[in-house]
Amino acid sequence: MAERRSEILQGTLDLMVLKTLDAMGPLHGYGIAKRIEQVGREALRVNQGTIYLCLVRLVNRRWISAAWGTSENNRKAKFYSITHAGRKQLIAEAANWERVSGVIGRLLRLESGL
Amino acid sequence: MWTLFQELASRIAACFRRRGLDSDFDRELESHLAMLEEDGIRRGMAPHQARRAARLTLGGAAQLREAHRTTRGLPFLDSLLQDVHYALRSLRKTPAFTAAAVLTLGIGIGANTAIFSTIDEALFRPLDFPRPEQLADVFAFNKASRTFLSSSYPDYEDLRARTTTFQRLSAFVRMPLSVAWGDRDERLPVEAVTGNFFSMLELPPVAGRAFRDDDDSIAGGRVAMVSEEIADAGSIGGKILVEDEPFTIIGIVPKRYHGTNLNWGQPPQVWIPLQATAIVHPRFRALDIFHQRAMQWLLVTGRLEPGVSVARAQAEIQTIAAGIAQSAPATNRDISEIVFSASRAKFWPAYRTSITRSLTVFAVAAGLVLLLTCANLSNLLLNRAVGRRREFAIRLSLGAGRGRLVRQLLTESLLLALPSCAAALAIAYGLGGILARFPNAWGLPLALDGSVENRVLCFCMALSVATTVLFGLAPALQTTRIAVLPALKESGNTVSGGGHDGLRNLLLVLQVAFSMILLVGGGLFGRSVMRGWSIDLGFRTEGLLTAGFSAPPPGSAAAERLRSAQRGLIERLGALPGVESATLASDPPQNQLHSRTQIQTIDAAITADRHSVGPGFFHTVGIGLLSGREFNARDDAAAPKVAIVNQTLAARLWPGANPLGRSIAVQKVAMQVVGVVRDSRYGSVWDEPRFDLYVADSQAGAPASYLIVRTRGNPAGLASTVAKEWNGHVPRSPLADFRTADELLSVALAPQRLAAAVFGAFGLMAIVLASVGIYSVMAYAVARRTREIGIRMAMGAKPAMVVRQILGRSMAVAGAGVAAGISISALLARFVAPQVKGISVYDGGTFASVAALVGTVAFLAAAIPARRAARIDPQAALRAE
Repeated sequence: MAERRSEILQGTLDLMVLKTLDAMGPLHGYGIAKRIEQVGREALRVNQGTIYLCLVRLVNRRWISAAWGTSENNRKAKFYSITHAGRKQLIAEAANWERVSGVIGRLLRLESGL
Repeated sequence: MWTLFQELASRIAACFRRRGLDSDFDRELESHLAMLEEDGIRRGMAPHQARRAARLTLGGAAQLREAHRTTRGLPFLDSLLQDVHYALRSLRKTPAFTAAAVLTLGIGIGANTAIFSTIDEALFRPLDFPRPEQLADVFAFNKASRTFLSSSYPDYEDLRARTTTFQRLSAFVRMPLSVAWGDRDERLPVEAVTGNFFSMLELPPVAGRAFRDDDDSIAGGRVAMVSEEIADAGSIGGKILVEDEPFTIIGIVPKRYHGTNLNWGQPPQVWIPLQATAIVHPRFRALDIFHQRAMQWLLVTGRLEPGVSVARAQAEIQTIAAGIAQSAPATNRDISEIVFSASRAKFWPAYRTSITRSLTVFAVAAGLVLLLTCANLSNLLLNRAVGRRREFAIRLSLGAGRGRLVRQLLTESLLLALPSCAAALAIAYGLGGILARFPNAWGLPLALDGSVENRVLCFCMALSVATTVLFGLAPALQTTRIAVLPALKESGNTVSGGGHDGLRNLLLVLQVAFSMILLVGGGLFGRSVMRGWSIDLGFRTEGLLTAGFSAPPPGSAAAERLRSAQRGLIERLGALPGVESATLASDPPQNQLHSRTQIQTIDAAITADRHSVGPGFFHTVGIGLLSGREFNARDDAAAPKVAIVNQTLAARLWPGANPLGRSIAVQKVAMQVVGVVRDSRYGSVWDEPRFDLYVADSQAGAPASYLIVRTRGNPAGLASTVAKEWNGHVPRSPLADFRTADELLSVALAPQRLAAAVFGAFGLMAIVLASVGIYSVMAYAVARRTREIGIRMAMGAKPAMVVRQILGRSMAVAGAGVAAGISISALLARFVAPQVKGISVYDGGTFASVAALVGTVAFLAAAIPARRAARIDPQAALRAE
């Protein structure tokens, strides 16, 4: 069951990455993974490698852009930052997420109420 | 939508930057691992623990890399590109193979494309008019003599009045006329057409207007249309002189119109109404040509009512013709009419068979070359694939699927298709040009442009791809069906050939057989040409120079002027330095068109070839006079009519008796025979002796239009001297088209020369390919069995025995190929029989010498590997393992 729980939807991960970059500014892959783990507090255990599949997908869609830079520890790393199109997508997706989670929440409450 | 498109673009781009993106990702993962490790150490882990934990957290690098590729690129395109990349590399590594494959394919497909293009243009391409399928030609057909004829004007009028299946029915005739206008004064092809001609074709003029029915009358007939090629809208309203008669230009005909008939050579340039022929041709008026059913001079073309089939029109036209035959039995008893779809009847129907036949022969030759190419390609690919068995075995054992390997091999074949197609087009273009420009290639003056158009391009590409895929597939399937372990254990030269040998031997037999067939064809046509050159023509070609000039229509004032000017001129030409004698004739040597005429004596009536010739003709041309005399200057229009016959005609009309002084009636004109000459092949090199009747040019209705000059030494060098003298005296009929008799003979032999060249070239290429095939198979066999041969020689086998074994196999293959080639050639021979002239198509000498040639070449090809086998040093061979 634990594995099931960590299997997060592709779209959800996209949304989390976009939100993270929107909130934190440019970050490297490790930073994004760490941030999502912190926020998820063990409830969401991501295989850190999968974050890169999500990143390349978002880059291909021009929602984020990537550039090599230097990390706080003076290490070469690739930094990702959200683009204008990415912000628009984030707003649209966030609204969508609110709506869907609201519906699901109500539905679940309704079922448990029976 | 835009996002999707952008993503697709990025993915496609990613496939092409694979290596860069891979290393970029590797660096990214590295830095990720390093950061994880640092964090771990900071949290108090031992360095090795931290590294292990970091790897676990990140996940498997190899899988990640693979997943990254799939996510960022297109897996399908990616593997395709990989295949292409790999295929290119392996083709580059074997330049000899690649060049051989591309060249063979290029030649095979190019030859087919050129022939296909010519066939398409001559037989199938629709005419360039709106709804060409509605256009149909009506030809008169003599049921008794089974020949096609032109139609008479009254017949055309009856057909036009009674038909219900044709919307419009037109008649026209093409003739060269002198056209003067502005500062131009030249002989141009002119079409005289009925008033409905252009509306029937639905060919609107580019400027001005087209003929109408009311233009087509003697009263309204002085109007003309001119081709866009020589005039523009500004010419409308201007005057043009046709045979010195003034016409007004009313319209410009688009230059894409080349006439509906291909076998007249040059396209028409000027059009006049049909009735106006009586204005420009006084003789037509005298003959009352528009009311004579006996005068057959028109071609009839029409546009069918929508939805009417050619068959229905045929049925109706035939009924009308039968009606005419009943009401006018004297002229039309045997005349029927045959309707052809105009796109099919692009030339005189009687020519269709001969054109189709010679095109078919070439198509078969090209087809053979293609088959041969395929056999050769298959062999090349098979050789190559067998050489790569270990590579495949390794890839299979590393987990590559068989499908993937087959796909890889097919990619290689397809990559060959592209350059092959380019090579093929280049070859097709060249060959097509040669075919179109080769004078008299089809034995007829066909106006083909030999262009390579889109349909042909598609044909070529389809053929390239189909050939390479089809013939790449068999070796691909065969070589990937290998057991991995034995193949891996194989070391270069102990491979057992397995099932390939049978396929290879079959391919070799086929190659030898095809080369044999092509070479036999080349040999037959070649011998035919040699026969043509060596045959006794009955006249002397060397030193003979001919030139044509345009004779005005008979009966016109211009014709009389020309005739009187010629009288002294011929003698002066004969006195020029280097000239022996000069004369006039109605046709040059090897003209092949026979003007036929009826001869009647008291007890016989036969048809003979009629030639009108000037004084001194036989002396000049070199046809021997057997008895009597030649024509001379006294045989003029006022003198009694005289004739000369050849010996065959004399023997037919007066067997065993003296023909001199006899009377004959030629088209109801009484003539007296004054001479008998030897038979000759003046008209056509292949003709058996025919009935030849010679009449005096000065007494004939139609004046001669060829000057014939006997020279000493080089005839071509005298052309300008002769032209200067002639043109100074008769500038309105300048000499043109100087040809020596030898040139004319070579043009007459053109169909055979072309066929000999094509078959010979294809055949030589075929035999080279076949011998390379034999050589490579045998060389491979020897290399493969070096060890076995070494052992056998160590055990006491003599080199001679080894040689015999290798040669034995090659000669068995070659023998089977030669036998197959001979039998197929013998079967096919009768199809080329009409084109192979002067010798039998079962010419034993040709068959035997080609068989000997093929056998020798095969022997030589096998001798090199056999020698190599005989020189194998047993010790070295055994130690090599």
